[in-house]
Amino acid sequence: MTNRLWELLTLHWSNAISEEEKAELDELLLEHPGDWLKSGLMDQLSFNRISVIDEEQTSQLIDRVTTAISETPPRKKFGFRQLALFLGIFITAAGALAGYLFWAQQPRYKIVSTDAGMKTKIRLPDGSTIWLNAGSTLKYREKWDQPKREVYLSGEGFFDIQPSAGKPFIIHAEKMDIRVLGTSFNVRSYKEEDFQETAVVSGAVEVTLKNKPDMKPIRLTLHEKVILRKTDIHDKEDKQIADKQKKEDLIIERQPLSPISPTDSSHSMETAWMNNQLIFRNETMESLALRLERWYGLKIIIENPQLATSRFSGRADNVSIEKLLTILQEIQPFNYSIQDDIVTIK
Amino acid sequence: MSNKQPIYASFWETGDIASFKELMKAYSASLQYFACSIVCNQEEAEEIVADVFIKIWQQRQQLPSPENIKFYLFKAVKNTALNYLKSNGRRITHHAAWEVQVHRQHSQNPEDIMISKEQVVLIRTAIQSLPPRCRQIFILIKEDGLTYEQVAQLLDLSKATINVQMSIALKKIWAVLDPALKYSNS
Repeated sequence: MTNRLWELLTLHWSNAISEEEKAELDELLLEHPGDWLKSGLMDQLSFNRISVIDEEQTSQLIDRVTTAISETPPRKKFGFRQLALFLGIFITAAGALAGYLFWAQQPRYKIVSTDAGMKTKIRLPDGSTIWLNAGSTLKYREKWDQPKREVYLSGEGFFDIQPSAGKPFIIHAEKMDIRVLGTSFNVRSYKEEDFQETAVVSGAVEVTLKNKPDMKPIRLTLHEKVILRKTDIHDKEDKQIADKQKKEDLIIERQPLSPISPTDSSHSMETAWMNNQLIFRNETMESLALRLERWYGLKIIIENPQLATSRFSGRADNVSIEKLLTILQEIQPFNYSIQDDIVTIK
Repeated sequence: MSNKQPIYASFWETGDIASFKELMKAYSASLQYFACSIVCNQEEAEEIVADVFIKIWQQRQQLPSPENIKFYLFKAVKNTALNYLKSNGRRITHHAAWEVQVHRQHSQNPEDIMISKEQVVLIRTAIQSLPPRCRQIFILIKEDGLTYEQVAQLLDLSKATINVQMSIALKKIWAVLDPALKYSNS
């Protein structure tokens, strides 16, 4: 039983499986006849509560309700209170109507979100495709008839944008805006992480910083990326004052993409998540844990502060959390326990 | 019980008492169990469900007919039960020690492998060994036909948690399923 097969089966059982994934599942089941038979058995099962509420109790309840609703409330005279109530209702209704009219004028947005451990693919009306990584949200206008194509991203996504003459595509992330004409690239902008980046796989993009709108846009081409890093690195002493005064300076780094293997430049670390590869290089346990929480949909607690800052490098393709932790233990020994969906690292 | 929207929702517009009775018949047991998991008392649970039905009947003309009446009922029971606790100064109990029954559907295809009685017992034991909360989630989805999203909302949990809990339950069942058993010829 492979993890991928199990993943697809759970998607199938939760009715959240896409057609592509269904095809992949059928293919995998053909390769694993034992699992195929088991999934057939699973479909034959149905479950219900062992009930102590019998039919008689149910019909008593029904009688009780029917009696209550058939007693028509006594008719009252139309007095001042009723008039006040009527006026109240009228005013509320008028308010609601005004509210509705106002709301109908506002642009309406579509919002796509992924939970931890999930990924999804979105096709926009213009033919562009966006893959959304775990724990991310993409927002865009329902009506796709504006002069600019604009989306709002929080989290991480890979964008494959169709060129459209005279209609630039703009991605608004937390700290940067990315303007493209037709290209594919990866944007990572998680609130809980201390950096944000844009990495270009084909074509070119222009990145503008939100807090420096007058700065010249950074132009990125093939296999280049830009990283925005927060500068306030744990200076605990006057952190509070610093937080209030400093308008949060960002360090801008420009780097080539990091290929996974030196011989193959077509696959890079930045887009490895799309192939279910988890790659980390010289990453602290603390920041790795953040990624693992999103990747596996778990909560990770690190009890040892020394371990939180020790660094790990490695690669995991489609492995279970237990397996991954075993690999990490070989790099640096530690103990852990898993209870339901909470992992405690000691 | 399944996901399909039953016709008895028609009472909402027409005031047809017969279809309203059908609705109560179909859902009152499930709703009582659900209410009981919040207030932890059978009589109170019954009262809450009766209240919900009475209110829905009385207010249906002021409200648009809900898109999904089943989920609407569950939500109404949840809110009524929570208000009930609040007015009594009590706290939510999360008591849901539901026992689960396993059934085999009779297969149309004689070539299919049958699940043996022994296996059904094994599956039931596997489910009984799950924590009550996990069993509750399992039944709300499998018997009551609610979606993962809806159960998450009803129990104030994240959808990821529902996913994890369902996966735990399904893994347990999967582990005791054994396709290497005899073929049935009947």
